[in-house]
Amino acid sequence: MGDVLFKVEHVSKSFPGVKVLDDINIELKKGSVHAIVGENGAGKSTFMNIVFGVYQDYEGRLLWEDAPVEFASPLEAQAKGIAMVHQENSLIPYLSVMDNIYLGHYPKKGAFIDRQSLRRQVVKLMEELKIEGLEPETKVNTLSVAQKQLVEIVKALSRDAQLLMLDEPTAALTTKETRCLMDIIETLRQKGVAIIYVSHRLEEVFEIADEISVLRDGCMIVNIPKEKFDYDEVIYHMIGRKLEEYDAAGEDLRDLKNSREILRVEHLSRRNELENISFGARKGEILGFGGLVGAGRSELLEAIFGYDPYTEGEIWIDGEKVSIRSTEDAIRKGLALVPEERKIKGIFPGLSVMENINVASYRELKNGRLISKHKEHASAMKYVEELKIRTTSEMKLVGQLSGGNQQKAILARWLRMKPKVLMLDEPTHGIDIGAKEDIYRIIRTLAASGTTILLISSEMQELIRLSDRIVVMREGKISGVLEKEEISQDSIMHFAMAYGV
Amino acid sequence: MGTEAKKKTNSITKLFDSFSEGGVLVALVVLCIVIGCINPVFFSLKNVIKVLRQFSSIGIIAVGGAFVIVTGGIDLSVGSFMAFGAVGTAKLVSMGVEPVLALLIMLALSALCGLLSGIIIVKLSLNPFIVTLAMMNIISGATYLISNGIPIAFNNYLNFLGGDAAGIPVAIFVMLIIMVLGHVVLSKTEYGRKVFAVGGNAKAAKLSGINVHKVKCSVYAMTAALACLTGIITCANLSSGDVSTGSGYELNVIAACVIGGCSLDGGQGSILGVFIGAAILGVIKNGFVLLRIPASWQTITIGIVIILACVLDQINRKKK
Repeated sequence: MGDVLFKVEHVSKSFPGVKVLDDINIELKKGSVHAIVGENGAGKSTFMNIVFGVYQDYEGRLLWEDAPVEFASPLEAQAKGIAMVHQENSLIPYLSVMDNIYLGHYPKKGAFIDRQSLRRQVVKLMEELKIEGLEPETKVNTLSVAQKQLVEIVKALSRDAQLLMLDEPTAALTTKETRCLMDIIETLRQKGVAIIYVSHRLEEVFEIADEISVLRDGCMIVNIPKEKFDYDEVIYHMIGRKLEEYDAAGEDLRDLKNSREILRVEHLSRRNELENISFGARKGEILGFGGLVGAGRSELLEAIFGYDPYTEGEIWIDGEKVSIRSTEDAIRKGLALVPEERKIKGIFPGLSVMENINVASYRELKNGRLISKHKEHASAMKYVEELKIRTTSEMKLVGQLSGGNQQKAILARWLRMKPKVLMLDEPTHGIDIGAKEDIYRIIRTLAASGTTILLISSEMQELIRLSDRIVVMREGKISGVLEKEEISQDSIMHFAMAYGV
Repeated sequence: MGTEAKKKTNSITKLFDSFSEGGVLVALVVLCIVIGCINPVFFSLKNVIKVLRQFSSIGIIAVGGAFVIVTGGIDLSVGSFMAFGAVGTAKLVSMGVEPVLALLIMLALSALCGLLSGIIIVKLSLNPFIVTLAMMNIISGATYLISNGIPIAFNNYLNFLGGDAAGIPVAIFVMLIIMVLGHVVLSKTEYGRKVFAVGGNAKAAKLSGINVHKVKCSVYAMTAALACLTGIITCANLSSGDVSTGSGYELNVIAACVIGGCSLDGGQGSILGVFIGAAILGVIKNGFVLLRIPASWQTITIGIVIILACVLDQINRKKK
């Protein structure tokens, strides 16, 4: 490990009304990997955006090799030698790998792009990083998620970066691909590049990091050096209390053993995606779905809900065999789905909170043929209050609310249908801790009142906390079912990963 | 300020906020006042009726156009459906079909073709721009086949559609009826909310149990039928079904919708706005004649108005 490359001193940042970062101090050495962990909303992205020059109005200062620096834009940060691989893919689909990598700083010959040296440079970069099986001429849209991730990394490094920031780089990768990424990071470390590594996956953080900083609610809680890495300790700092204390409140009055089965799925399949899935869920049960990203969990719920119908298999709801060919069928039979990717599949950003809540149930809000103004406002207000949706008015555009409140509006949309089975796909993804707790409370209350809940979550702690049983999936199949007393991070991972099965 | 007075201002700003067409309405009023001051003839009853008559065709079709645009689509085939309606009805009548029956047949046929556009758009996930462009060519060609390009005389009791009732052109009544119906359907019915939901976020709409395909298909069918109806009115007015009926209307209809605040991204728009948009087009046309400004300036002005309307819309949205 070498000299200090980059220093962050007393950095704070506020958005109107909220302090998102409070007095952050970090020291980065050349050739070291500094991991930053914390729950969603802890301030990790804001921190990286400050370092990358996206935000300029922060307190405190940044030092590059002991000289104060201020970046007016990401371009300036890049010129200094900082590169960032964003969580969201920023590649241009119909351009080739090499075009994407050098877009914005093409090698030129006069007015023209020098294709030959472009190709040469790309090949050289990939060799240095020991990346194989990626052709410079391939169009990016034909690549797998993992390959795109690699292109993002090569792109970030194409400007001779000395500091590389990776934001959840393995979120969409398989174990093998993650392995490959770890090797690349090791290569970079040896070349003296300083790395900021943000990830939810503590196992890989423990493996590659030299130091871990824990962020919680915008504060730097603790810096832990490699020799003191401890799983429980890090979790403790992340959530601010011990795991056992988490669920003290609320007595469980459900009698799951004797409640009847509400949903039964038998031999459900969809070509190339789902294979022979069978399970049942009881009234009032919270059935969790574990597995890695891409294991087919979302596809399963969307198939049950008729969004992308199943091709084989049978579904029974409350003892009645049903055929679900469309989302309308599913809703009629008492199913509801809060989809993942809230922004893409959940909200109508240009419509009001009221319309977002009522959109699936206008049938019930009519006087004769016309919609009743009174009924639609009353319906929205009821849920705004019940779910504590923070908005100045029910007429506000939902796109202007925070992620947590948007998610509550979507929940309200389904709660007002009083579904028998509520399916939740990553219900707390990207929302702050307070709203998260609210949503946990809502989920529990619903289960207690007899709603059956199917829950997908990639946040292991969340899944373990809420679920009565967990179905673990891998590659479109069920690889294991865990009863309450068998549930643990290890047992889930055991079935989620390829090894041991 | 007293509570009472505060309440009053609040309700006024609220009224203005909820009335998002405020900006273009002001533009329309200013335009009318300026033209009227220079040439008072503008405000004469006769001229007002003339203006209304002039933009009634665009107005009727733009109701359908607004539905299409709110779902996030676009319809380039309306002009050809006008000619189809005009020529087809005239041809059927000339073959001895009862005029009312001919009218209904053509309306149904057009709606069917519009539906076909919709089905192609949703089932093959093709871009509506391309599909309706293709449909425009197909329908134009079919219209030529029917008439061989020769105008067909149209003289029967349906001519009243192109005439006056109580001194006011029937076309104006038709437009007003269609506008009111369109407004009620779009803003006050479940179907209307579905149209907004589909345009606002089609994936979320599907996941909310809305049959996105059905909604999309329906708006193209409706627009084609409205265009056909307008064509028949024109035919009744001219006493002849001509293949050149409605040429260039598709873009005027889109202009009226856009000036009236419909977003081409979908999810936004209102029939009231579309009425004002169509009115602005009509007033510019009429006003320029009254002010003796050469016609070429008309089109230039309309171009500028379209851009201004969009800029205004952007500013409004940012303010929100």
